[in-house]
Amino acid sequence: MAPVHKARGWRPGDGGTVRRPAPGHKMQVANMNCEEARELFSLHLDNYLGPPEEAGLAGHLEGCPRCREELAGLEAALAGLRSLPGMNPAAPAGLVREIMSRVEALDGRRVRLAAWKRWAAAAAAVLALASGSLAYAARGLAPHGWLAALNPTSPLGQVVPWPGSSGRDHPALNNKTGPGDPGQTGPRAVPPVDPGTEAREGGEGTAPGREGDGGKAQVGEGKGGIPSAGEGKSAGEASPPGPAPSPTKVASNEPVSPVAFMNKERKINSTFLKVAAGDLDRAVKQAAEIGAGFNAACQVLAVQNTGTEQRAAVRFIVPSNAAPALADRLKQLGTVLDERRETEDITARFSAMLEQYRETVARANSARDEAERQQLLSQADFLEKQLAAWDKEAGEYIVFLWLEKS
Amino acid sequence: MNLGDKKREFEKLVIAYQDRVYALSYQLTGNHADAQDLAQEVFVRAYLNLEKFRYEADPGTWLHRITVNVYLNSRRRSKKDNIAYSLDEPLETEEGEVTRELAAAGGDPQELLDEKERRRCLRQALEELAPEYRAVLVLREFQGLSYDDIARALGCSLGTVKSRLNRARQALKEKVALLEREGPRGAPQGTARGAPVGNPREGYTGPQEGQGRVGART
Repeated sequence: MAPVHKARGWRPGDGGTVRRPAPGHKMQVANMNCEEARELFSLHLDNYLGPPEEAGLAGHLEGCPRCREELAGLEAALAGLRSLPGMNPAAPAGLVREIMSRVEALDGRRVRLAAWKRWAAAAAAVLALASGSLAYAARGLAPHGWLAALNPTSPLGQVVPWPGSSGRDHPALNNKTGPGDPGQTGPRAVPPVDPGTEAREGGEGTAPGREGDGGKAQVGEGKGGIPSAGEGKSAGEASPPGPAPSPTKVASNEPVSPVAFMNKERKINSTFLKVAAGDLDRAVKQAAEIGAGFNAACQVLAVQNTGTEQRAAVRFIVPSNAAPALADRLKQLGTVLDERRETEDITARFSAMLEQYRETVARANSARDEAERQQLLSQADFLEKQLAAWDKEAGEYIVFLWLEKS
Repeated sequence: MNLGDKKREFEKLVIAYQDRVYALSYQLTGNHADAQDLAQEVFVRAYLNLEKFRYEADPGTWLHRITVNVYLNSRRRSKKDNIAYSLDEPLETEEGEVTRELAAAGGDPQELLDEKERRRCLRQALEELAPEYRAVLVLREFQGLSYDDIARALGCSLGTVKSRLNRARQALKEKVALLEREGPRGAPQGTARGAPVGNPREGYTGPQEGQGRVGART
């Protein structure tokens, strides 16, 4: 489709002067000045002017040789532009082939990346279950998809927490675990927030203790938040060896207070590194040492051995300013296959989980049946740990290292 | 639709629109190497957003928009904008290599020279326009889009198209006039974009029209 351009003849005349319109000046069609006329040149050439504007422009041009000259020059330049040869080349041979090969490569990469992320998510889910929520899972309350990560028939292969750690840190990584660590995940895992202090410091959590329930709300001795899910086997598995995180033992029927979390925007910044290394075990240990050097919380999420492939996933939590240097060091473990930086806004998810958490605590407090109460408290415990982890991660930077044997 | 079907459908789209997208890419970038890169990028992005395309009435307009957006974004990222129109560079097409011979303006050698010089000035003027001006000019003068379609392609209002097109045309005309006044050695083809038109490099006796592609992307 070629544009329509209007040919125009000019009548002789002279006397044109340039008068600049004042700011906000509205164009007077009947008696326009040179600047106003020239603003219409383009529309005039494309036949986009209405009859009044055309008449006004024609009137100006009749008496303004300079504008006539301008318009003629403009028309000539545009005509020359349109007549430039070679400006509509056909696509070169092989363009379709090039494009389709890029599309093929892109699809392959997306599939590979998706598989990697699914495995990483599965590993993280395994860790979450093993590190503090086995009670929750054991009661059949864990989302089905999470447990599917443990299914050997998974197309991604079996995902196994690091041997002997029950999902906690690899021994080589226990660089900062200290007393009072709630056994959540890593040495810098978030300790449960003391509701006795946080709640009073402006958090949005409120103590739901009800007077009618005995009015004996006790939240222990300053640690622990939600009490653990009783003394059953599952709860025992969820607790780390060594110094107990001192969860408050709450007597039956005593209402508990939800831990307070600030209502604020939360974003998790992370870098995913995929590195191929010759010796996987050695690379994992080196990664741990590198992390320790950066004062990072290191955590082996899982290892995978399918017989033909060996993989490991390690997570580091570091202050944001240390993350780039840490990532640079980790890249030296082998050949970097992929690197991605991501920012995930979890504000809405956090709020939704916080609401669920509060509701669960309230339901536990009002439960008449002890088994039901313990079950709800276990759920709340799980939710609280997830909230605490998010709260912590949102303030720091996560470097996720995926190692695979080259 | 499975992946195989999606690719087959997409390939049909590429075949149908490759010439259009490539021509626009060439008009925007001014050389074939960049035009090939741009056209490829356009179709890759189109593939990634194929679902959105299904809601478009005209794939041509949609591809125009992607092309202009990719082009403008790349120019904004690049501080130097070296492009040059090299119309005598042989062009590989499906029908084989084609050499674009300039049409003779007449039998008079002086006329031929004048015409050649005028085209050089036009190409250089187009080359030196701001990317936004070049885009609107290309869409109108070469692609023949209506003002409404240009507005859709650029993602701006009709009023913006009107004013931008007018300014772009005026700027082109002024640059052409300036280059013609400066003469053949004013600013040879391949000058880095952004070099002041009125400040030719002294002593430069570089290539004139038809001496191959210069201005590789930075």
